Amino acid sequence: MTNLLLPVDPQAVVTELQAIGYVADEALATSAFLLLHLGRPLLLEGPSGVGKTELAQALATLCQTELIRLQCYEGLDVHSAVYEWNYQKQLLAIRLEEASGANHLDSKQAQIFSEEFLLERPLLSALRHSAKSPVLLIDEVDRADEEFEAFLLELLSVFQITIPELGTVQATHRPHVVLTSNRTRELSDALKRRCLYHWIGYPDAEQEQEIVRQRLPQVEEELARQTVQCVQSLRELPLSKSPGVAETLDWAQALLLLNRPHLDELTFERTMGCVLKSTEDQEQVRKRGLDNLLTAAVG
Amino acid sequence: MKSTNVFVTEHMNTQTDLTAAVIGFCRFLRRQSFRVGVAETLAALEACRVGPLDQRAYLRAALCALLCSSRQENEQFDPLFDQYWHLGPPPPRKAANDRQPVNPLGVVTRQKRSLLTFASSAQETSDQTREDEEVAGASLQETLRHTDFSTIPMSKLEELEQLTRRLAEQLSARLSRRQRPSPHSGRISLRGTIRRNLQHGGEPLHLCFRQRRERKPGLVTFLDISSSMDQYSLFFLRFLHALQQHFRRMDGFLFSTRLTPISEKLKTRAFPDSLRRLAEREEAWSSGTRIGSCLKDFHTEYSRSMLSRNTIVLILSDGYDTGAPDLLARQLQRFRGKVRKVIWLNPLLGTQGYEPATAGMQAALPWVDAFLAAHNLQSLLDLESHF
Repeated sequence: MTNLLLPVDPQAVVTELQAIGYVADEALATSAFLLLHLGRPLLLEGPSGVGKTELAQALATLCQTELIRLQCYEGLDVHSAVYEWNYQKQLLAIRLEEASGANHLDSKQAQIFSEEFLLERPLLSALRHSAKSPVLLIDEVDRADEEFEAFLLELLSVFQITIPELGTVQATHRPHVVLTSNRTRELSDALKRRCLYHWIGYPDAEQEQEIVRQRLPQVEEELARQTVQCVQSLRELPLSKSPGVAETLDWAQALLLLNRPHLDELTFERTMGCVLKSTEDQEQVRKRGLDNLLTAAVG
Repeated sequence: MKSTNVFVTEHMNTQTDLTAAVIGFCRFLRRQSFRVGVAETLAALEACRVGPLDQRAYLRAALCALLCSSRQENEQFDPLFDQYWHLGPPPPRKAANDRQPVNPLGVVTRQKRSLLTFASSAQETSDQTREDEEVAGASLQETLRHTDFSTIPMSKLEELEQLTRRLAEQLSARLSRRQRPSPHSGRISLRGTIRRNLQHGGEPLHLCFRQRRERKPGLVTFLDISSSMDQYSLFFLRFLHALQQHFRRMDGFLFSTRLTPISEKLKTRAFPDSLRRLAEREEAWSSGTRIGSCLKDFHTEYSRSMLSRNTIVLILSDGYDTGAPDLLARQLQRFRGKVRKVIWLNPLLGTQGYEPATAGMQAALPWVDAFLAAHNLQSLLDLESHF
């Protein structure tokens, strides 16, 4: 039923994503296509700022569905990811019932562990989403602990969760799952095997220019070209943090705000913070000479 | 539309042929050590069913997304795909006997007393000086514990081996005990409290506590295997192996003139096995030392996925460096702010009258949080307080 609304082939994915401002190449579009049609989770890896998270957002827009996001961090546990009981409310209910005189243990237990006292966290709400398959984004899964990864594995294979007090919750509509990882650690083989895998690298100059054009149509073509060229050559330096596409966009926007028609040494020096986010990197680039970099990039 | 329909090769003229070809391709990848099982094969067939099959690009991208699970595999995929579907030249074939037959301890013969000799020394010692074995165990152990590794006679090596293993286990046990949380401190756990007090009608008579479990730190170790370290390397390797069992995450490296990751090999539970695996690879055992450039390689290739604020960096080296001192200092400096602690263990520090006067050591010291001796087992055990 809902399948009728999904794109019919990868090319359609490219076009539809393009229409909502996300530039994807054929390979990425194919992965997204398979994600939508096969119901397999998609694991996106790549450096930061290349549009991994944005893809999930774009897919949610494309499918006209909700995006449910789970941000992973060290120490994330099942209770903050799946569900939690509303303890304060439970205590209050116990008190109220006591005051009213009723005092039967079984009924009390049944009552305070009921739907009314359940707090949904992202994973549970993704499973119970009623209208249609939501897009579930599990962001930076590499930051979560191994234990949580093992739990995810179970969830992603059967799409059901058991809450001891309530019973098993089965997904009404299988969510489209997108996982992202910055590779701060290797993920387990088991998790990778469950997923489609796609590596998003930095785009080439042409693609990146297209992205700037899509996202910031007000930026002059020439300025966009210069910015992109410059960022591309920065990526070739051994920096501690290479600038991503997000940085390119920030930079182009900054230049636009400052009303600079083109990139020169002074502007570069003043707006360097948009693309180079550490003093060591800035120092290194200065040492190589801003003018060298600029003439190479701007031509 | 004929032109796009290039995918009909001799592999397939009908749907069934395609199925067979895809299954064949999966098998082909499996032979190239891709992890492709039945589940992946079925998914690949399913992908063929839902997508536009007349486009080669689709099949390529779809199979790539389904059957690869790392960036490396991603990069290998295209040539393999071309090769299987006869779209390109086969890659240069490796000679059948590419890997020389390996004598597990073959490397050893070339050095007179490098660390690997120790592994095989067990047989030799048994028929050597037999009277040594008569010596009472306990006092011998006590002595061995405080004896400098470099002065231990060959005949005692086996005992020292065993003692190292026992002490390493002890260290590991002590470390894990220390991190057990006490039952009555920390924050109150509402979940547990409510559950436990239902029998009292919800009155919180018993409190349950929850304590943040102390995170075991991660560990990154660098072991110097240059010739000046020969007498120590084996014990350190044994020590690293014991640590590997304990730490949540440990990444190990050997270095001399270049850097070699050894985590995979250390992971085997039994030590001799690990050692044998290390010996199978021809490394630059007992050559010169360039610590700075090895650390630089580490920073460019590995650091991103291995370092966190909760990581301890452990360097085991005597600091005789033939590289530039300021390079070493710069590379050590890069650990600053990224890791919890940098510990340098120097076996020479236990020697009387030793001053860390070499240029390399001098340059390194300002960037090291703890500079400790590591010349006998006791000194290795003392390291515990720094974890």
